Amino acid sequence: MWQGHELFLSSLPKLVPYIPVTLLCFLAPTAVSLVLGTLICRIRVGRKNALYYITSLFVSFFRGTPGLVQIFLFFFGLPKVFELFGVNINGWDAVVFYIIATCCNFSSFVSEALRGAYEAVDKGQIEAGYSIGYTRFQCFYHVIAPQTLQIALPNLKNLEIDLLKGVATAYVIGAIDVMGAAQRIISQHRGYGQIWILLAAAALYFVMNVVIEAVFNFLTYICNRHERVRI
Amino acid sequence: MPMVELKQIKKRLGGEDVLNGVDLSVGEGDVVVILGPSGSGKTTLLRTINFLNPADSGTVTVGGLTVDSAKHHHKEVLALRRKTGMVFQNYGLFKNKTVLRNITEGLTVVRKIKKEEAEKRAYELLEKVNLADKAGAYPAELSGGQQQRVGICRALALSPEVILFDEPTSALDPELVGEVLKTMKAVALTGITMIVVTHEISFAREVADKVVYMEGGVIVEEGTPREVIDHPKDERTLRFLRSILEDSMDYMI
Ligand SMILES: Nc1ncnc2c1ncn2[C@@H]1O[C@H](COP(=O)(O)OP(=O)(O)OP(=O)(O)O)[C@@H](O)[C@H]1O
Ligand SMILES: [Mg+2]
Repeated sequence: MWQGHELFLSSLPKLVPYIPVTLLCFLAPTAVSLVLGTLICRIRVGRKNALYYITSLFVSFFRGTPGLVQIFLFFFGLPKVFELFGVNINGWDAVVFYIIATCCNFSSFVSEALRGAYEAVDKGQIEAGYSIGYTRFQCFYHVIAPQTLQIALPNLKNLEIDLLKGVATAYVIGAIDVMGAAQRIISQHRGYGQIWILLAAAALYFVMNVVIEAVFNFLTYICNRHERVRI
Repeated sequence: MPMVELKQIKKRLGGEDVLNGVDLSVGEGDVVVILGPSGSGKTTLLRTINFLNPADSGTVTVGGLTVDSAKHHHKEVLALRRKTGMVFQNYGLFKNKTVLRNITEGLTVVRKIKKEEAEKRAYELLEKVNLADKAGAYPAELSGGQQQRVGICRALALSPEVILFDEPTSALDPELVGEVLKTMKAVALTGITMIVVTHEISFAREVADKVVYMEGGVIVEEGTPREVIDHPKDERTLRFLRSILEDSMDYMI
């Protein structure tokens, strides 16, 4: 046992180089979902046309099935789909498949968080925007988006934290992030002292989460300025 | 030529006819007060003018621009909205923006006026309503009366050709009604065209050039304040005026 913490300390520098991969698997879906999630949300609060039903199906699939299953489906399924068009993507890194699957999954969750928030925006604010002559885009950009985001922030924060922790599942398809690297070290040690190596990985995820939480708390602080009144 | 002209405005809402062919003509610089019982369609009518809630049929003319409610293009609607301002019952200030930004937003975003110039204009308006010292405050920090005065400034900032007021004082505590009415009187004196839905009979009497009485989605009676308020011809107008005058009597006791 007394050697455990040494293993913990010696694994840390071996895991740290994989933090960028973890961050990539976290930031790429975050960025994509801001755009894709907003688009899906926009479609789902609008008229019930074909696009509405297609996106609804998309959202229910990705929200209703386990992320782990989706990762495998993309990892094994996507090359088959590309094969139909004569493109071979078997050489792609597993990280790419993880990111594509997660972008779809995460955008679905983000779109639902945004939709709930949009519905909670006071419609009087939107009308006030139109009354001073805003175009639809100006109203979206200056009134709807900031207020929707403010309402959605607590939910988004929870989703982002889950997203980061979820990256740990990427190793199942062979993507090497912090968790994947930890698994590798464990097998090099033939399973010996795996708890300490896993704890090292846990510590790194924890630190990254603390940063994410701080960023979101800061955003919330800024967005809620107007509610901290000085009366 | 009238500044605002409504022709045969009709609208159904929730399976009911809310507006049954309203015709209204408002001259340039006139103040028109619309009276009527709850549910008579006053708010609905006002919102068909700037197409926040377009009528099913009928035409709306503001400052020479005529838009057909039945087939309107969003560009026409935008142009029409940019000729009108609106003051809301619940103030409708952007709650995440300061008083100053509430007023300058329309100028900088819609009119593309430089920020400094927009702020100068905003301060001029705020001075007039004695709120220059609140420029940096958020709406939640203001009383209802102060918020409504800012709402009036926001509408005025864009120099619209007509301002629509939907019961601007009815959400206010009684002691705050006076300050808002005073501001509205000052606005009326500047010669801007105003259409005001209100239950403040004294305001109608003092400021209105024309009083319109609505009931059941039609205009029952219109004329000068003297004609409509003091000598109503229609039974329904009389009954309505009596009821609100009685209410205010109760209030005094
Ligand atoms: N969105 C809606 N759906 C269905 N019916 C509506 C809707 N909005 C208004 N109505 C109905 O239209 C009628 C007119 O409403 P409106 O708000 O214009 O009345 P009002 O004269 O402004 O009344 P108040 O003095 O209470 O403000 C009412 O009978 C109301 O129930
Ligand atoms: Mg009303």
